[in-house]
Amino acid sequence: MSKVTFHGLPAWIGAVQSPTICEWWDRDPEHVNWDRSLLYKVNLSMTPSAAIAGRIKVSQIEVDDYTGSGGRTTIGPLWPSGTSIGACWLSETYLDSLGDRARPVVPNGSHGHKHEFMTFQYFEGEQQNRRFYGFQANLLQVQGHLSLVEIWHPGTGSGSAKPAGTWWLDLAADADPNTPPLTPHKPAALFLDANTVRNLTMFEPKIPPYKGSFAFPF
Amino acid sequence: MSYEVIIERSRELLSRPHLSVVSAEPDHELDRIATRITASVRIGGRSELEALFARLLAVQGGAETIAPKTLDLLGHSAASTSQLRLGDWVIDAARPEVTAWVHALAADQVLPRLGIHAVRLLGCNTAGTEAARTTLCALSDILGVEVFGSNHLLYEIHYDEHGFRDIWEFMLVSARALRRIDRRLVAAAEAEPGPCTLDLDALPAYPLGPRADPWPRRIATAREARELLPLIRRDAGAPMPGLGGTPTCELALPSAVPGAYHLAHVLFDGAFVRFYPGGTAEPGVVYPVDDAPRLRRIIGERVPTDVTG
Repeated sequence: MSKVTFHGLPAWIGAVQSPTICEWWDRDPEHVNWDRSLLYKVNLSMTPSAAIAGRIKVSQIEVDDYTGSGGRTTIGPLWPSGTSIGACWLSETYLDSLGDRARPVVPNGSHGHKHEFMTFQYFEGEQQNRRFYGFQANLLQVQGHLSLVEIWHPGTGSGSAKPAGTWWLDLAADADPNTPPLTPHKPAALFLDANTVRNLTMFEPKIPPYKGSFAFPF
Repeated sequence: MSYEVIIERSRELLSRPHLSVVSAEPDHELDRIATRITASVRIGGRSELEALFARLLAVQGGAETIAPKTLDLLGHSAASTSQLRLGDWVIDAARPEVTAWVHALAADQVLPRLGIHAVRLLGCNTAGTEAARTTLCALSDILGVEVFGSNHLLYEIHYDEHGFRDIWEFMLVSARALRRIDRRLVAAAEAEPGPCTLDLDALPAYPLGPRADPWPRRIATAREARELLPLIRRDAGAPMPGLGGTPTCELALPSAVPGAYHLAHVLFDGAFVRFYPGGTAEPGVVYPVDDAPRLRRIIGERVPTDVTG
């Protein structure tokens, strides 16, 4: 079994090299004086769906799929008509390759924890190709195999925002089995299966923070 | 153009996965797109589109198989509303003459007879305004097929000899997606952050009628309802995403209105009960039961099964 972790960062496109390869800033270029040495290069075709289709290896994945293709990335996905300001969900391997240039993985201006800007994608193995989205959550009570959990919209869990809602969830089936379980009344990270998330009424994190919210996943 | 040529061209149009219809207004960009697509038709307005359909239906009439296709309407969008313009005709569902014409198309089943399973309004930002989005949804409702618009600039590079290229489909948005986004945004904005409290009197009440559910319905008296309700943890209600399991039974609890009942479903062998404050068409709110064995016993021994439903 292999697993890829994605981190959501804001992205401003600074250059386009091909239909899928671009260079981007993770901050508003106005704030870095349009410094081209701060541009990161990414290939928007190196995605989980390309790995599942066998076109690339899992270790080569750079970025999550475009939002219309089951992922969370909202820049691109093809140039010249692609979106030039949005969210870029980057693989941990790709971020590691940036070395010292790697930025903090909580977008500036957000009120969320690191895990609220994370997605896990599994490949094969026991979890098949399941994906899990990170949330801030609080376990209120347990009844049988169901748990009453309050959950914050991603990107709001560390601020003063109220939870987005409360749900009875079967955490054994719905949550990532490799994340520590919730402790009652101690808000912490919860990674929920994408199919479960579709049935919750939640917003995508605002990346960049000044972008409007939208219900997710599409 | 000879009759044979018209027939041959019509057959070619019908054989393709996209029926590309390009606005015939004098415009270099539209000219280039129409030239790029091997088989496309230029039309100057609604009457010409109607004539095209009539011609295609006449040719299609004798065919044994119908190739599935999209109807791609290509043109510029109106400056103020972003609605697609074909020649002198703006496709605006707020105009009665437009919807009347679309209703006629639907009544005559023109699209299914031509194998058209989706309509795509391929102009810049044809989903970019409220009026444009309303038109997409209205066309979809009337025609009974998916209707697409775009929030992007569309131009020559997005087309090849077959029409609009599949790789650019991410630039399109469907009427169904627009409706889903609206519903989810409203639901998310209205969601209660904390657990719900059960207020039986606030629940909708229904007369008991015939039903097709495979699980039994049990009708409680006021006395039995008074015994059952304290077993439910009434301050711990919350939605349960997903299918939520098959109910053990439906429970009908008497309301203040004679002959009308509050409906609930007993889940997980009595560990939970689901009520429907927004009506039975909504997902419902699930409450835990503190004493499931007692709830099962009361229902099993004293609440009779409805044998009429």
